[in-house]
Amino acid sequence: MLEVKNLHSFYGDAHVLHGTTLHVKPGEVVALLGRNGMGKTTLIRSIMRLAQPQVKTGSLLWKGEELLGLSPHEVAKRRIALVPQGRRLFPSLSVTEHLTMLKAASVKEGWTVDRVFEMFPRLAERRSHRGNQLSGGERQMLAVGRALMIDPELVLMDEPSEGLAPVMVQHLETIIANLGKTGLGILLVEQNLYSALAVADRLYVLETGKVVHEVSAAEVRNDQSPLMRFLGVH
Amino acid sequence: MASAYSPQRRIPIPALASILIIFGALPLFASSYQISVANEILIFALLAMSIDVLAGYAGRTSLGHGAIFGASTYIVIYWISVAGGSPWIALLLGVLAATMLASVFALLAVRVSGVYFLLLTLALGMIVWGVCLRWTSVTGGENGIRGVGRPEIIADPLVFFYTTLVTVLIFSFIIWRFVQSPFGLTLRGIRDSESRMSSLGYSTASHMFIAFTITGIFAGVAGALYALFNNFVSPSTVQLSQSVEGLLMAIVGGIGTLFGAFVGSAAIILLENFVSDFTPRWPMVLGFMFIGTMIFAPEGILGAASKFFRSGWKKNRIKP
Repeated sequence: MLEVKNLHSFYGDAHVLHGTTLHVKPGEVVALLGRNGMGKTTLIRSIMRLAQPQVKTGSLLWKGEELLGLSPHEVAKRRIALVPQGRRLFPSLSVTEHLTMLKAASVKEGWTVDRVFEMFPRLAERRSHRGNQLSGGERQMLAVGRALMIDPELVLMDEPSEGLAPVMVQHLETIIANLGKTGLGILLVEQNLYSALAVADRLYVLETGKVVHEVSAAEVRNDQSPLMRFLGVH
Repeated sequence: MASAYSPQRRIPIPALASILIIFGALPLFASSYQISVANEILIFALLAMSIDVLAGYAGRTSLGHGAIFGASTYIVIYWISVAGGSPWIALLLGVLAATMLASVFALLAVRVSGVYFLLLTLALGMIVWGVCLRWTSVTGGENGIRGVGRPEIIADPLVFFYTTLVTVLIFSFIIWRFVQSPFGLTLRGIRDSESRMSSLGYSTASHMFIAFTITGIFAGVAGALYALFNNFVSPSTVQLSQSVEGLLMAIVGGIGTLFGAFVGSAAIILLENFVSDFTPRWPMVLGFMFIGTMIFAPEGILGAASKFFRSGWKKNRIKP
């Protein structure tokens, strides 16, 4: 479904991604692991075609179609959604407005306001609160709900567990696992190995802008030591 | 069928009713001069609202709306006085011309934001002013064009005042509905973060183009009403100070409050009219008022008032 081939991305003169290659199949939850500054967010931003970073060479194929050359809204129209790092909600919009802005409340197809509120009852309780009046966990739920409202086939999640309380991380893991079961492809950027292992089918390790290790979650559950070596955890 | 979670849009009945009562009752006790001032307040409130949609909801401060307003005034007066056409057709042509001009401004300005948007709209407005000043065979140059009066049915000043009131109220409701619509929400989203809106599948440039063009319709309606009100147009109607005044009205009333435009328009026009009776240095008084507003009520008069009442209500609520 998504194929990233030999991607080279730059921030100005800084070469961040050095020929990154990976793929995500339909309905697969793929985790991208790596320490800070390894290029995980840069990869997500490159896939979304955000203005920065600049992709100089490589290929981004979505169902066989090249994404390079498209603008971010054209990528999103191809049903690729982003849950950005740090949630990035709209501070002036209420919870309901975040969702109805993307699809009218009367629409009954695909992901709807009702369906998002069923998945996150807490958001329904806080529906008239603004984005900047929510707790970290609620913000994350809303960021996921907002992404789902475009009826995605692939969701790019950039460190969704960052800064959340352990109980909220567990709740989020359940949600990601359930979303994966609905046939939604997920590319999950994580620093927390155990969070990634709880939900992912496959894992990649990114180091200095290159994929250095690819392994299935089942293999890691049997033996974590090779993965730990790549992550620099001994 | 709407979802149980459909956003509730309460029609701003108190705001619309207050405007209707205050302005509607005015002829009962006001002189014809005061009614004329009230008429001007209503027209400029509509212009200020059109600016507020962009500045308060989409985060783009335009200094070109005075030119769009003035272009409509020019077309209406030209069509009636010079071409000898029907005043009703003139009104339609005025609004149409303003909308087209706004779409040209929008094409050029929507890809920039912040100070660049401000400067670009300023420059576009200056071009319109330059054309009106130099194209003397059509615009009359500095002498402008004098109108030949209103259509007979609204010729009476009182009837015209009520026509303006009803028109402005209808357009106020339309503007309110526009900013509350899902499209209006996307404008607020763009104001908060363009890149976020883009990654949600929105072409922010197209949205800004549509928004700018629609605000051109509102400014055009205000300009057409002004043509019938003033019966005269000159380059001063399209000059930068017109845009600045409209913007100041929106700011003094409260950016993003929409109905604050009425308060801002009233404050500025009343000061201009009444202070100038007492001192030739009235612009200085106006300047002090702006400084005072920025220091003591940066959210504008209506913004500060609603903040005050909200905090008062909260204080009362926590009392045992």
